[in-house]
Amino acid sequence: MTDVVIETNALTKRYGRVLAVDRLSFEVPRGHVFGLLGPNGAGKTTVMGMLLGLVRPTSGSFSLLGTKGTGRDALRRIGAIVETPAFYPYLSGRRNLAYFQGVMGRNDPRELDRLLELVGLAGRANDAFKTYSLGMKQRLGLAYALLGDPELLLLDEPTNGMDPAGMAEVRDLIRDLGSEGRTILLSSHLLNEVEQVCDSVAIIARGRLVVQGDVADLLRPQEQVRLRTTDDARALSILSASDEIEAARAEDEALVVTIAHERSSELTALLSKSEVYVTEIAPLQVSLEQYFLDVTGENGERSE
Amino acid sequence: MTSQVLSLTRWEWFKLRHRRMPWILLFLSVLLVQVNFWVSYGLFRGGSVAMGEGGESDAVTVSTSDQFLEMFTFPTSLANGFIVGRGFGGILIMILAASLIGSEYGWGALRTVLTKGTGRWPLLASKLLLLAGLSVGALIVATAALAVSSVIALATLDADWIAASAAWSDLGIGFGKAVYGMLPYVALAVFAAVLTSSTGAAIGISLGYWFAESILIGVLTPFDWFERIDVFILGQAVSGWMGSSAGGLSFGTGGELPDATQAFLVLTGYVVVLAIAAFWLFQRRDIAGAKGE
Repeated sequence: MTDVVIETNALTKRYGRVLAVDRLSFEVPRGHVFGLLGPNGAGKTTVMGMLLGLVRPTSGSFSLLGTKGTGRDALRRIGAIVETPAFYPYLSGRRNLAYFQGVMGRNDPRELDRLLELVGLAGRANDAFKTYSLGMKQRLGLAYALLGDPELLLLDEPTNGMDPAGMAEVRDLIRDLGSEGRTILLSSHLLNEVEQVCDSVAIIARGRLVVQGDVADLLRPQEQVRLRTTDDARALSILSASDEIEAARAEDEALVVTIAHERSSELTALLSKSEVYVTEIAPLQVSLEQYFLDVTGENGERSE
Repeated sequence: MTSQVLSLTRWEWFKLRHRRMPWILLFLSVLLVQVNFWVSYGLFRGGSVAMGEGGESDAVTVSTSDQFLEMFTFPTSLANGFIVGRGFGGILIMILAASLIGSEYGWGALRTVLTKGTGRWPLLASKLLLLAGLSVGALIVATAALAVSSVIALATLDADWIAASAAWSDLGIGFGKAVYGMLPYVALAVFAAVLTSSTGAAIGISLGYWFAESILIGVLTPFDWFERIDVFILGQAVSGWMGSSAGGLSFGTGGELPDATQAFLVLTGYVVVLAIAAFWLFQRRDIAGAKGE
């Protein structure tokens, strides 16, 4: 059994003058929920397209499930959603799934029932796909991806367009699927989504790999809080001198401190010992762009 | 491979039969063949006939009247139905072919199908097979409706139901010729759809070619040099293959029809070249997401 399920080697895709993916190499170990994280336009969907045989690489190579390139046999063992799931608008959700099950050479109505139930679409299964909301389309996409009980899932922005409750449900589902031993490659531009769901991550920007590693190592240290105190200047000097705090800076009449959110109470305790009191504190939502600036520096790239 | 293509064809039909478009096109093809038949009937009953040979005068001569009457008798009415059905059916099957391929790109569903390991060659082959099958089916339905109309028309006419010069054996050949005469247009529409990844553009190209060549044939027929090359024009080759003007639409007489054997080879050439080009493009090109068509 292969331990590496997806392996790309200098994978490159050029559209005319635009270099969409630039010598991208990464490995996805078996059983991992692996995040492909990057801002819009980073090349995530192009990578997915190449892995699924929809887009022809300009150069480089890859292997899926131990097979070089995208073979039909490999695709039969993969479930995938690429961008917004696209189905036949005039067919119902159930008939769409029945069609895709049929082209796979299978006919199992019970599987359709089970999957529609799993993604919460059983009540709307007989309605035409064109009447579905974006969130429902995503759910149907997940049901489609799970047809045939695939061992590898490639999910491209699977929560795109969903409301917060739907996003949470889908993330739970992905975690459950991962815990069953499936390998999942999840592309997303949402830092918190990757953080909540994935074991490991490759961050890409402008088609190039910026950094790859465990989520715990790469993303969580970037958690920050924003706070105001009774004496910001003194608070900054206390925090900067502390070994417990990774970084602190003054920004827009407040302080921004790099610390895990669950350790915020340690921060307030540290300051109160010096009789500086926190008047306002909030977890800071670090934008992906900001995070990229932090990890890549001014050049937007970080040498490996 | 063959069993996979057959299985995919079955599922393509599953998908297509739930669309309104093929049923509307089938209705139109039946309607147009019926209109053609009943207009001819009306002209005959009205005693005013304008037909090809010997049809210069307003009054119908005995010989042309007999000839015209034979159009309503079996099996001539059915054989004429094949010619007319191929003419109108050719246009409608082009629209269906363009839609069958183009809408997959437009909706983005092509990505969804291919990521299930369908394979590009088998998928396109199954669509072509389905279109060929639908051509056969539509012609059968249109001809069956025409047979009913013939019975109704003959009941009102003082004529034998079976033509004196009946050649039933030619009926099957005529049917086969009509179906084969539609295939180059199917191949043209499929190629245009794969080339442009769009239903609208593919219909535009296919119908544009159809009308342009009809006009071209009418304009160029008077020139002697055109006789030497006219068989290579699709419309003329189809007319030569069918042994009559293409039926449906024609913007000129088209002059002498090309030899049937030569026409068959030209049609085969069109089908093979367009199909190979479509498969080659379909195999090589990147598949983009939905275009919203």
